[in-house]
Amino acid sequence: MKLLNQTNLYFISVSLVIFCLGGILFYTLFEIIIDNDIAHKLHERKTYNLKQLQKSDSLLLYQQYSANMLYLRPTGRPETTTEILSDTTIYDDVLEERILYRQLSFVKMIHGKNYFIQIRRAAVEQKSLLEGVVLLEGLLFLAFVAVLTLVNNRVSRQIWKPFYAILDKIGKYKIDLAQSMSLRKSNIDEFNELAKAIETMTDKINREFNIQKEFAENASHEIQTPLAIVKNKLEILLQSPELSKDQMDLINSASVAANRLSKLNEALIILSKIENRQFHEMTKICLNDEMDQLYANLDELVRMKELRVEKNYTQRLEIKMNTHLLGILLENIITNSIKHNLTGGRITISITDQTLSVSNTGEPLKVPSQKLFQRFIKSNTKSPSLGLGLSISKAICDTYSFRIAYRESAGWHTVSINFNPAETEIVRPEESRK
Amino acid sequence: MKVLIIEDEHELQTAISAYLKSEGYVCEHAANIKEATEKINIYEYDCILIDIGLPDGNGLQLVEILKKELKNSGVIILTAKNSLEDKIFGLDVGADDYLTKPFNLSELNARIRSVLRRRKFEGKKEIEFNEISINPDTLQTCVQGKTVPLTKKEFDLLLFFLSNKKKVLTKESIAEHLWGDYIDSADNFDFIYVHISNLRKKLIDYGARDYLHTVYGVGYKFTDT
Repeated sequence: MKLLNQTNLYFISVSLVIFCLGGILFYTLFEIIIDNDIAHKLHERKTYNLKQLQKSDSLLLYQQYSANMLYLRPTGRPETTTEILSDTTIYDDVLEERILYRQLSFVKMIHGKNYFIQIRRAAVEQKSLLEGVVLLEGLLFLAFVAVLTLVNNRVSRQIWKPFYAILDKIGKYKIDLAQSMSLRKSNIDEFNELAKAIETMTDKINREFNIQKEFAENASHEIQTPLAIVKNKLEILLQSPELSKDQMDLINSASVAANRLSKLNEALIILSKIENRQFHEMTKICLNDEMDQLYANLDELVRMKELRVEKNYTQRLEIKMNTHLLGILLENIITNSIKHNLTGGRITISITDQTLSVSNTGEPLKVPSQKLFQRFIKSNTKSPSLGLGLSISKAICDTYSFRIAYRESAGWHTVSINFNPAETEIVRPEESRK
Repeated sequence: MKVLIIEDEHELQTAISAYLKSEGYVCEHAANIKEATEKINIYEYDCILIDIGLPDGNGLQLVEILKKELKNSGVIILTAKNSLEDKIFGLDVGADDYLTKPFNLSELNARIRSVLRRRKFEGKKEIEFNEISINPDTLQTCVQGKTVPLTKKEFDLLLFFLSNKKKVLTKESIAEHLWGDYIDSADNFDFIYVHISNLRKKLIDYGARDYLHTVYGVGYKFTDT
């Protein structure tokens, strides 16, 4: 829930309570005022009526004349000074309904005779008073809420503007672009503090990231140079005349190991570069063309192993990504499909509107397939390969949120990449059965 | 042929000049940009090898200076940074080639020869070795005047051997030269064997002597002795 709605909700519930209490208070207050007023008016009437009655010849005529406002009958009870104030309802002929009256009852001697007298006055009914108060309060409450929400929203939007600006900047922050956050000053201290904290934090992150990046670069430089020396010295040593076969073998294995080390170093540097997202430039590339190009380059390897390659392109698939990375990705997958194939085996490449899958025949996998994308995992531990190809491929796919998966079934190994997994999650079981 | 090696790593520089001297080059060296600039200003070189990471600056500066002064030297950049940006920038400012450390000396030698061939227009385009002569522009190979039908890979292989005559070339360096990074496992060395036996057979069939020698389990040597 938005902060604004939350505060609005609090305001509204608190004001609801206040309005309810106010309503009750209003109601009692009104009732007391009206009651007092009626009692006062009744007493005035009493004084007036008694004066008139004393003067009048016919009391009954006077009573008739006063309609429902006055009632009197002779009584045997003695005259009292006490008056009783009570409510009653009397049927009104004109309005054709019973109407509430407030009456003052007492016994008074007039012309030497005792009379029971009631002086009445129409009273406001409680129900209609309540209705009036509730309606008024309700309207007031609605008006209050409307104005409150409107003002609150308007003010908040203005006040929170710098906050949303900061939020937007943070969302767009990319560590590998090494940009420093420059956030606009606002006139609210809290937001300025937040902006300052974020600026300090990102500066620190950038600095650390650059140190890391430099370390990776320096490590590569520092390792490659001694390696280059080892390799080159061995190469020169190899040219010495009259080397025995044993000596040659020693030099050769040392140089093979140096080569391996340098490839390993190179692969790890690429992996860290991918994971640090240091490949920015994106171009729109047609996967089908890239694939054909790559196979043309590798044609020789395919023919050497007498492989049969079957291409199954149902669509032209265009992807927006870094060319260099796509090259590494496809190369890894394709060279794997050749390297781990049987002599005389087959390769099937399918491209649909959003997936690429490469299947090849081969020996059954010796490691659990879910481990395959981890670093340094090799099915054949004796193989000279580095065991980094698939983890590099995975890292590339992760960078672009592509989904890479491996399946093995009936002697076929399939690596598939879904370039747009967010839209639809299609699993095509028939692919693995091919 | 005069080559200037601009490299701050002493051991690497001696290894490079040892190999190049055995190939008949005259080698000089500089360990930093200051030294290199002095030498470039005084002498003429046929080829200059420039390390990008020098103690007093980026080697690419030197490439820019060389191109500004219209020196007719071939330039090959050597770098430990396998970064695409450096490569593109280096070739953009006018370097002729680019090699990532660690490289094979045989590969460096082949690249230098190729750069020199492209630069020296006055010289003969053909490379000759006894009865064999090849033309890198037309990809033509002749043995005693007869054209030998070689595939592209076989031609590349022969050119690589002729650039590194009398040198032991390891299978790895040959594989890397022919296929670049595509080959990274030893089980693919069989391919080299197939290419080499085809090349050898074709050359002998057309009347050349057998110059290709197997060096134990290490590699091959192209020599007439």
